[in-house]
Amino acid sequence: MKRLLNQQRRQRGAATLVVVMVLFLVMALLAAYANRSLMFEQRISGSYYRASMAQEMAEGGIDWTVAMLNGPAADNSCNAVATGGTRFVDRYLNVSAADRAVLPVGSTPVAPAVDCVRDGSDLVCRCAAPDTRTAQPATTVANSLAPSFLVALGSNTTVQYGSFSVTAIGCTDSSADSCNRQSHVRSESFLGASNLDAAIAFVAAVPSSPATPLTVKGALTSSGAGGLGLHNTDPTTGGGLLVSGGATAALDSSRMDTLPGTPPAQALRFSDSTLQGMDDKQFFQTFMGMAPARYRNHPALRTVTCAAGADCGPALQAAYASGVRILRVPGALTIGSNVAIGTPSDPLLVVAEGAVTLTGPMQLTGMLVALGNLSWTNTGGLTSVINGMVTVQGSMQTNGRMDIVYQQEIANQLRNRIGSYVRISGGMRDLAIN
Amino acid sequence: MRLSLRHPVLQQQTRRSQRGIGLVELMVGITVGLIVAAGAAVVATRQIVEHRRLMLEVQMQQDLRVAADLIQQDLRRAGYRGLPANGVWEPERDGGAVAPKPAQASPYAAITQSTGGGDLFYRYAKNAAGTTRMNTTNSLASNEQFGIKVANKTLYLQLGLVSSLPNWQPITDPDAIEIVGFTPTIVTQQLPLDDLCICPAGTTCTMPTMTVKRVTITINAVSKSDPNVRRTLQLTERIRADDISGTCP
Repeated sequence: MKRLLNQQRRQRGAATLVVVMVLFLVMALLAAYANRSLMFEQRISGSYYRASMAQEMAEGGIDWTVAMLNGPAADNSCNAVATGGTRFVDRYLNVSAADRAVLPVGSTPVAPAVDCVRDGSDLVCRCAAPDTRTAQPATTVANSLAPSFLVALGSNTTVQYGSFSVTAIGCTDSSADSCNRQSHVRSESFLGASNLDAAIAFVAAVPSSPATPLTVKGALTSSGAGGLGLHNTDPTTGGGLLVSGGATAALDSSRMDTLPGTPPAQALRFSDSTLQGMDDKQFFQTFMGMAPARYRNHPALRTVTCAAGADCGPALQAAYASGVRILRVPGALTIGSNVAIGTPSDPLLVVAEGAVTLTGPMQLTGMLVALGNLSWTNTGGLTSVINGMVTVQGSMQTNGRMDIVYQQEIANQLRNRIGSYVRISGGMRDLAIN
Repeated sequence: MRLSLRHPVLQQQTRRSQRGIGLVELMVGITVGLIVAAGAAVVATRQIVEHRRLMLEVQMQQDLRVAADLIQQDLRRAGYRGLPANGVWEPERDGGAVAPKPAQASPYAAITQSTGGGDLFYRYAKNAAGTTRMNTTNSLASNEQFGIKVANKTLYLQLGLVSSLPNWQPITDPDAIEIVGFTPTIVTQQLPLDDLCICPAGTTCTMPTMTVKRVTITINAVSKSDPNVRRTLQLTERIRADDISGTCP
């Protein structure tokens, strides 16, 4: 009893303390409540951040794919290789040289073929062979997200001619495969995902190639032993051999090959009034579809610079080996070495903006567009041949023995398969994932 | 128990325990308590008012953000043409048995404003009504016409036509925020396509042009319950469908 009395005395006046404590508790609760809404707000911002990051990744994926389609040959890590690589477009798409039909190399329905992840500073990509891609491995970056994207190339349904679609899934996770799932799975693991589909069109390197092996806007002069040989036995082109705006040149008719039964003289056309009436820009536009200044913006075009007078053959050969098919040489182009560049199923286009000097034996398969004069000398016994077409905006001089062999296959390749890929205006949409 | 309470010793003890609550002690206790309670009450009230204001701002921000997001996502779709391959020239096939297919103009690329510059109208291809198949006919359907406008201080999004009348749906809550300003601007840029056409010598040609469009939208909003809470939101979107007018001569 005594102990109890003492205790009661000690607790006297504690009411104030209790009231104040209760008030503080209420205030603390209120503060916590306010912070709760702040947390909520923060979570919303986080979701927006992830959503826009995923969208940017998907957009980036499509842009990256377009760049790769126009880029040189790549290895399994999507890095450019100097030799022995496969062009990105050839790896994933079968483009018909006859009618531009685009089919995926892999199976349909098209599965994602390529994936990339941003490891903090760089994009790390994987370009597996079609149908062999495995799930993207996880990447960790300290204190940051490692967003990724997946790309599928090619159209599933009807065959399209000259266009196809690219679908990209952007993901805030380092493995984009974890975004390629149902939406509730994604939201449970706080993943932002975006799926975009873009239509891509083909822009031909040579939309309307000449139907003759040689087209010279200026004058053509031929001299030396052997002489210039022109060959075109393709009936669809009418077997034409030469169109020139200049005066009649003395050509050795035994070196001409045209349709059987047609005299070679009939396949040669000099003083062509259409050519004479064209200015330089129109001449270029007639075959290439656009003015030279715009042609430089061809996304797949690459520039090779050669020192004036120096042999440019090896540089062209190296560019071709790295997967470039449209080459522009800004200055004078000299080929003095015995190089063999291009194949009929994979020809090369060379746009030489300065004077062109070809010396000695060599073999070019594709098309040579000379915006200046062309001088071609081959006085030795070896062959110097261009398989395909040559257009010369200036005048042309030959000395010795050389041949230009027209092949319809090369014209088809340059018209329907070799070229650039661009987005189609009005071809972009967002899709739901699964 | 009552009996035991009457026990003299116990009664004495109870009285002794209640003794000693002095008046001064009580007054000081109450005063100090009141001062502290008043201070706490003031702080608490301020907290509640501040919190309410914060909630309003958050709600408004949220509402505006959702509206702007809806508009922006929809503007990104503007111009989608269902079958984009329609805009691409196709070469002849099967040795000329199938003629080349020229590129067709898009009925979806247009983006217009009402006279006076108030409302914004755009189009994009969608699944045909009631199906899951994309409209690939290259002709504008009634559920493919969209727009944004402000009426009664509320932002509206047009979701197609219903019985050939625009189907306007509000995207902001008029009880929470009032839209006091809505200024859409279409910035266009004309790009000449002369380089892609051949004009025969000695003639004057009208060359085609490409029009690139950018839309900037400014939205001014005021909170319904607190006119001091004002927000301005600006968004810019490049329309992903360019207009091509004219043809090569």
